[in-house]
Amino acid sequence: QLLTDANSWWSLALNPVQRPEMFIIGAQPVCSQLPGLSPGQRKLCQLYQEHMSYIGEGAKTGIRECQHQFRQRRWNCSTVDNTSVFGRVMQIGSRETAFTYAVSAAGVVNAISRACREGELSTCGCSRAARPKDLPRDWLWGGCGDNVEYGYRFAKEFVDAREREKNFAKGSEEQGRALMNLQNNEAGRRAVYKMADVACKCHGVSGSCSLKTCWLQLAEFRKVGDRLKEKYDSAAAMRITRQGKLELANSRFNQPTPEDLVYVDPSPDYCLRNETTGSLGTQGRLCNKTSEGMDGCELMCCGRGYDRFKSVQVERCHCRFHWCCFVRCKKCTEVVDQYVCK
Amino acid sequence: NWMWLGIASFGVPEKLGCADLPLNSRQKELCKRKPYLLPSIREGARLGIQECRSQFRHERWNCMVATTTSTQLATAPLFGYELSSGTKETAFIYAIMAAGLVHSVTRSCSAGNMTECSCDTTLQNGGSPSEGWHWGGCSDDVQYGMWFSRKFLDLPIRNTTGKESRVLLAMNLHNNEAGRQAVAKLMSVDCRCHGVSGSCAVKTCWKTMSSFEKIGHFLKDKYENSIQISDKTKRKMRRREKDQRQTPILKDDLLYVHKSPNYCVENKKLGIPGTQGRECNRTSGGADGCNLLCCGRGYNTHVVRHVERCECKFIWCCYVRCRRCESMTDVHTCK
Repeated sequence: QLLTDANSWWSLALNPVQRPEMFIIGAQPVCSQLPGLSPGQRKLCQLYQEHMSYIGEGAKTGIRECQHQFRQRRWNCSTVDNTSVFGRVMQIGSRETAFTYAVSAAGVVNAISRACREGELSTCGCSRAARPKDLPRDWLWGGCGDNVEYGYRFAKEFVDAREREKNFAKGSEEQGRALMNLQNNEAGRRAVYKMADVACKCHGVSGSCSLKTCWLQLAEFRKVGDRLKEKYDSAAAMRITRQGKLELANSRFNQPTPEDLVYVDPSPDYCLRNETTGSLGTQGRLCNKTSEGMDGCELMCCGRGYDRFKSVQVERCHCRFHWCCFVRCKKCTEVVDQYVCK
Repeated sequence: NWMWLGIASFGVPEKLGCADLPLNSRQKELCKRKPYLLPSIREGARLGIQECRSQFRHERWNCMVATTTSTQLATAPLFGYELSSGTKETAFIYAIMAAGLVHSVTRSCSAGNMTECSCDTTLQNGGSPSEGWHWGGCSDDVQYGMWFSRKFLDLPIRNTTGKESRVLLAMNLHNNEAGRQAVAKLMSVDCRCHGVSGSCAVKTCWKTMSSFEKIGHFLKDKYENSIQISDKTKRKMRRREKDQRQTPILKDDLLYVHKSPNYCVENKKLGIPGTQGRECNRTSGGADGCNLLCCGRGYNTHVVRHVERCECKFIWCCYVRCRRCESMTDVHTCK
């Protein structure tokens, strides 16, 4: 079993990071007390104290998106504790690990880019992206765009620090895992960078479009998550060569691009609780009796079967507007069948 | 199992006597008495297998037949686990194979290949003179096909000694009949006009079976809406769900006893190959999509090169010259 650090900077998502003002008082102790940082990341923390809360926000965004994308899967991106965040599952170089690294890195790019635009960080401001060539001539390129360039560069520096600061034996499993992480971090960053697009606003008398101003804007993070989920489904199985490079486990398949996810280990089946793999199992999970997909009871419960129980759902109904001015609704209760894996 | 006759690699009747074919004793006896029936039976089996593969080619269970050596033919089940499992797949197999037999035997009757049957003689006269048409041509004698199918398939099941579950036997008999009913239900009327310059002065009509593909679609629909019956059946089959027992079971419904496995992962004991390596459609949300077909395991992508003749030109005189065009396509296969 490949052993990597149980700690990760993702834990910043689960432990509140103090506002930048707190760093002024005692910079050294605060950075040194943040859990899950590698030595290089700790140095960056001291240099860029005000960035840390946004890195925490980015990690939180990544985890939340992961839990959305995997909500109907056996492994549903559960967090197990505040230090290792996802537990031992991340020690396996699986597709799930690949997705998690990518979406967390994407979350950081997203958060830092936005913080720049909002003027929260002293070392960056509005995007300085050049005016797109296909923008109509009479539209203005201005406004304050999300600074994706800075977000990308900073996320690269911070997120990749753990892998870059170590020396691995050439061709070792540890090196293979580190290269996998670097590739997946990069794929996550590129997803945000490439999906940033032009947004425009009209100005003029009564909202007419006599004047139009455009700027660079981040895509909704849900769209980034959807794209990375697609990459997860088509991730490439790799292995480490004796020369210390990753190569396709099966040369028949397409070579991965820098935007693709890669993995080095097969996934566990996540069916049963397993302390070794860190799998929580699917016992007690809700499932969809009529679905043929992964959320269906047959696949979610791994053929173990499911129990049925009735649950009462309360909804607002028969809403009516009353002059003037409030809306009054009644409460409707409905008994619904729910299915839970045995 | 008689279904092996539908496999192309199997020998032709002349090379193998009735005793050598994978039939039960009653079927062998029938074969000896009426050897002219053998081509129709073989064609019926082939029709059933081919249609099953066609209807399920994009599904997790894709109706692949077992491969085995010829020495095992008599005892090896053609469809493996699916034939005896009592699942929806079992129901479809029995129905489509019975329908295939009806279809091919009836077609042989109409083609004049059989001595015992021909066109449907009850439709030789009559019609509707007031509406301007009358029966003529050769109407398919589906009644003979159904009678033969019952005789060939159902009697051996009915006479099986009690080692198999009675409910499974009843289920198989019912599903055989559902397949036959599908053929009968989808009969249609074809007509042709006769008269000066193609006018419709006289119109002749005849009854004909639908294409077997249409019958396959019909049964696939029945499969999707098949009914689970209780495995504690006494004398009459009843629905498993208590609150639905008042709804009657129709003659053309497909019935099953046991829930199907998910067919996702290889299970050598059951002969389930799993979906690894299956080609899937990346952009589809349906059963052929990578998400469902690969059971969430993801997919691999590789490039396939196609070479075609294109830009063909006729050169006087006289040949056609074409260029070779290559195109590259991404193919996705389940992990």
